[in-house]
Amino acid sequence: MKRIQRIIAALLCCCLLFGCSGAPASSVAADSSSSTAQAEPEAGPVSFPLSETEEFNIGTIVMDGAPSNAECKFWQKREEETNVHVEWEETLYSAWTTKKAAVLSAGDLPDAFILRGLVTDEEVASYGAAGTFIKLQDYITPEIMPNLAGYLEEHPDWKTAITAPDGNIYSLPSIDATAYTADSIPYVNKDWAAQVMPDLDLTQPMDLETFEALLTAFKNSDPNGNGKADEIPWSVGGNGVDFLRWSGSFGIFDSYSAPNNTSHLYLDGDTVKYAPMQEGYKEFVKWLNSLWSKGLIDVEAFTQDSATLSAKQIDPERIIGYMYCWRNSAWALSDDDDTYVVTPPLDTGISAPTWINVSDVTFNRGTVMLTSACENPELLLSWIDLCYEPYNSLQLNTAQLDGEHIQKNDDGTFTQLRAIDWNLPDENSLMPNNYAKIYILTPETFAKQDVKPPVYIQKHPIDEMMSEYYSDTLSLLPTSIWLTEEDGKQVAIYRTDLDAYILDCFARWVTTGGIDEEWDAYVTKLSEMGADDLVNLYQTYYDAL
Amino acid sequence: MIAIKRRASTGPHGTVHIATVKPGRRRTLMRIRQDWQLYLFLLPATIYFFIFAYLPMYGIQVAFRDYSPARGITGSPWVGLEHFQRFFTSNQFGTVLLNSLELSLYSLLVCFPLPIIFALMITQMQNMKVRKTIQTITYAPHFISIVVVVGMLNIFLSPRSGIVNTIVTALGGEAHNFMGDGGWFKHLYVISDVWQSMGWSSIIYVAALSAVSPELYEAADLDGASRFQKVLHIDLPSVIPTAVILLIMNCGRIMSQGAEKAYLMQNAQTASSQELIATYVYKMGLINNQYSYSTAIGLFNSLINIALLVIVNTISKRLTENSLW
Amino acid sequence: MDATVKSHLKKRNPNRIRMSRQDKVFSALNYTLLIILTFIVAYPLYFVLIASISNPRLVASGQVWWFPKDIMWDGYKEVFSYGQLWTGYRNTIFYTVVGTVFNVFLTMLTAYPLSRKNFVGKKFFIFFFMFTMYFAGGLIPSFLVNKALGLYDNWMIMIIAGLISVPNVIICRTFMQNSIPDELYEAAVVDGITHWKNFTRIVLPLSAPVIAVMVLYYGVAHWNDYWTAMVYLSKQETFPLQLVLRGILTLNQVDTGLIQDYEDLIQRQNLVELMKYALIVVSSVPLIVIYPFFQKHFTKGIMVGSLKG
Repeated sequence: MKRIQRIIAALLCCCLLFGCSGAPASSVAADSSSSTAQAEPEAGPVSFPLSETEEFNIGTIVMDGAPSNAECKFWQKREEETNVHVEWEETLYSAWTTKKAAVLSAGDLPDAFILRGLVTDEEVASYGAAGTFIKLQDYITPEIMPNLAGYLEEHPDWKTAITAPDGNIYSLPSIDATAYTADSIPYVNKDWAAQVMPDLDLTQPMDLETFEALLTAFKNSDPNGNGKADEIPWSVGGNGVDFLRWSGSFGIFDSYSAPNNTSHLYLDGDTVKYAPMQEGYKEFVKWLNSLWSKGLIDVEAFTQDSATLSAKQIDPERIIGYMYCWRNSAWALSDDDDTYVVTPPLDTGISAPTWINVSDVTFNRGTVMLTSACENPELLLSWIDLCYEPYNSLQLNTAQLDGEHIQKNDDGTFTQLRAIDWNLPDENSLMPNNYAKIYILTPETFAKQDVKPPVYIQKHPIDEMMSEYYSDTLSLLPTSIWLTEEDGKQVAIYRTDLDAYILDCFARWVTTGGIDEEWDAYVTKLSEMGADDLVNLYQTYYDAL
Repeated sequence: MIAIKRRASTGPHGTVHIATVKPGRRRTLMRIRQDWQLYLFLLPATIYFFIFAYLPMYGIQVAFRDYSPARGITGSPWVGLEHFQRFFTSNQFGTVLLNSLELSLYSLLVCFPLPIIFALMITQMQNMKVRKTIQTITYAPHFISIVVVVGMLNIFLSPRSGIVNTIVTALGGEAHNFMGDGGWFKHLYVISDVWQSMGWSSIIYVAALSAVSPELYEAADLDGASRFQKVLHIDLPSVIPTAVILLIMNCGRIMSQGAEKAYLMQNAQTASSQELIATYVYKMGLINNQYSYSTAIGLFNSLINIALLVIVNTISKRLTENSLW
Repeated sequence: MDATVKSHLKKRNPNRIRMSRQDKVFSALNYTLLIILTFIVAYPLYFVLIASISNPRLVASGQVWWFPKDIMWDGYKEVFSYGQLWTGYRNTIFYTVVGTVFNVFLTMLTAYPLSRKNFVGKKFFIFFFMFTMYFAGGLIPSFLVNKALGLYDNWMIMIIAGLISVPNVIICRTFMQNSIPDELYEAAVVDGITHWKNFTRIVLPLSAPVIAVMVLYYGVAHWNDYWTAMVYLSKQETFPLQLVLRGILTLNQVDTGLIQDYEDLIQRQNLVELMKYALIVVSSVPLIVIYPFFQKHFTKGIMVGSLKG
């Protein structure tokens, strides 16, 4: 026993020693900003490079396993250019949801945060009101932030969009005006269609009878020719929520699964409407149920995970007839594989064939925030404004580094030097990760590249084709709507109950039917849970725009 | 166990005091003085829990405030029982509570006895090599992460290609989408629990069994007992105290366990009928950022746990001699 | 038993023949049941092994059952070529060994007073400890407390978090109360023993089975802990294995909401599927391999020496 006692005592001492030497050093972590900062803000434009090095702390994200932002070549280049040194305080991406509240509110703030897409509007507004994020509107001037100020001049709606409900600007945006509009689209198996319905023109919207006949033929006539009845006529994923994209043709826009998720709300002209309460929704669900009961839809649609769906989509034996995916990489077995073709939305007879237009501008309000710990906002903002410079924004948005992947020509166009190759060992240390970027990318800048990214080359024609089917009257709620904290809380409360109930009824009605009998009680219940109040609330906001 | 009870206490220099009748308080004080070392033993744990468990407990008031991280805890307004009210009057309250109770009790009923039976069986296995192999295999599932377990469930139960349905159709039945069937949810949950925990949970019982004095077995042999009788009359009673304590503690935790697995198993077809308090709290807190609401529900959950704990402990005290306190 | 005892028994007990048949049936039944059970339990484990080297698409579409199909070692290659994997192993071994020593010692130390029958204040302390199982302040207050103590971004947090687990204390206490006979204590009392000596000379050695269980429980908890590291550590050289492994997984998973190109996503998704299984194997094989060494503490006869000696 004595020996063990000694060992334990020794371990205790060792650890105390190590611990003590470790603790003080690490708690120095990130204190407040530059000690060499000027006492007064500089009047007039800041000119880079500075004569003396300035230092800032910026909190951002690092992807698990990826190199730190300190090793990122893009940021290093900016440091050389400006003589501004940034100390990065990084949170692991996988830890963000857990740690968010602690990072943003628990003492020792950095000078600024770059958190593209990770801070909600309500959070920006509430931290702003509390003083954690400082007001920035006075600093967005041509002297301090020439690029951003210029953009906001040209696009006053962008300025409204980043102004919080209390009238202040607490955050700076990332805007991608070149984003894709059709999001994921339907693909149909052209070879199978040619076998079972050779006269069908797949480039035109099908009506419901033809569609059903096509799916039935897929199911019964063994088009993949392997002797087994293993064909799945129509498969979707997303836990069944992806079905909602087809609601456009029924005169409603159920946007629940769209990137700018606004909880089943949409705009019809100038009226805000709630999709699950519309007559069109009833027709839509009944139609899905009729297909389901005939075995034309994948029975695993509500339960499969993305790996299972993806395996089915890319199965060389070809088992899906009609699928929904982003682009051909989901199913293509080789570069010239053209088994599936994009097909337009369906013609239901209720309204014109319509596909939901999910966005023409990807707008993230809360990308950059400065905190109360920042002693020299003008300088930091001037540095941040460099990212808004068109060429820098292009690099950031497309993840191409100047001198490595792309270069700028004298006439203002851009030439590609090499394609991005994620298999190269240091590729992910060249540009910042998706959450540590700031940019405003306009179509004009984007168009000046000689080689567009491969995804653009494929998605752009698809977007063009589908744009024929975008509705003039139906659209998503504008992203510029910004709820006050109170209203945000209220909406969260409504949505907690509403979303769960709606999804449950949807799954039940599609798989087992019964919507006609339950419809009236259902609508009443939705009202009780606050659906009408929700609609009115958003209507007020929309009208105020 | 030989149950001879005697009371003796030690004086500082080895003198033994046989308890005589003394006024209660003086005896108590004397015992405190004599057992001073024991208080020292408890010092590290007391300090540890005070700093790391009790100091942060001020955070519980989040359940009674309209908390926003931006304003901090003390800066957030006090709303009393508003969140609890909201939960009790919400649509999902009844379902969620009943589901949680039902699943917890079902899980307890099945998962509690199996490790004990398994421990009894495995200690009867004479061949040590086989025994080690079996134990290693049965305790390995504990290490498979929940995400992979649910992933495997999906693969095995797939109506299209899963092995379970292949066997069912081969025997003449019809393929069934188990994961999409709300009624199957609890059975799948419990079965996967048993798979993951039976071997691992049996370890403590095997340990308790190994502390049984061999003399008892020798005495039983002399009386001509069969193996089965030995198991019944020696092994089983020796694990009962441990089993009872574990049962009491499990009752006190049943409403909090399994949130992650249930969450991963949920899908649109089963979500509403299979929502548990624990998954509801998880969704509210992490996904919807409704910290106060989820803390309040979590608190409610804890209160149920405590109530169950007290009830079961009292019952156990009356029926057996074992209890937590 | 030696020959004379055996023959003595034979003469004494004429029913012995029937009983040995009973025993044989019992043994056979026990054996068979255990073997069947083991195979059922083993199948999904076997599945994990073969899935870790099979084409993930085939795995997901249910075509992998008995043998791996379309064998790919990419999952393991990706994992083992990951530089941080080895620092992860090193750190985890350190945290596990050091942490477990403290855990087990302090747990036994805390359980001992609670197992003494006439200990004054026993109920108070039990309530004091058990209360913490049900009420906790939440992440932010804990975060603030730990930060104030200098434990943020400090490897010591990996040892201190979860230092003492109340359920484990209770398990140890139960063992001490029920499996260590009072006579030993009373015999020692006569010799003039202090609590410390009783604890270290008598109770601890006799508690070898429960200590082995505690080493397993705490050891595995340390081995699997990623949450503490995720919240409190930021220097990558201090990351434990599980956090590194999760990092590999998320590195290859891309957030669909913000990516501009899904092509990477699809390719990486397949790699992630493959790696999920490889990761389980890589992270749990060391633990599984160690278990047999603990086995010997779970065999009978520990008590023999102490009573007679």
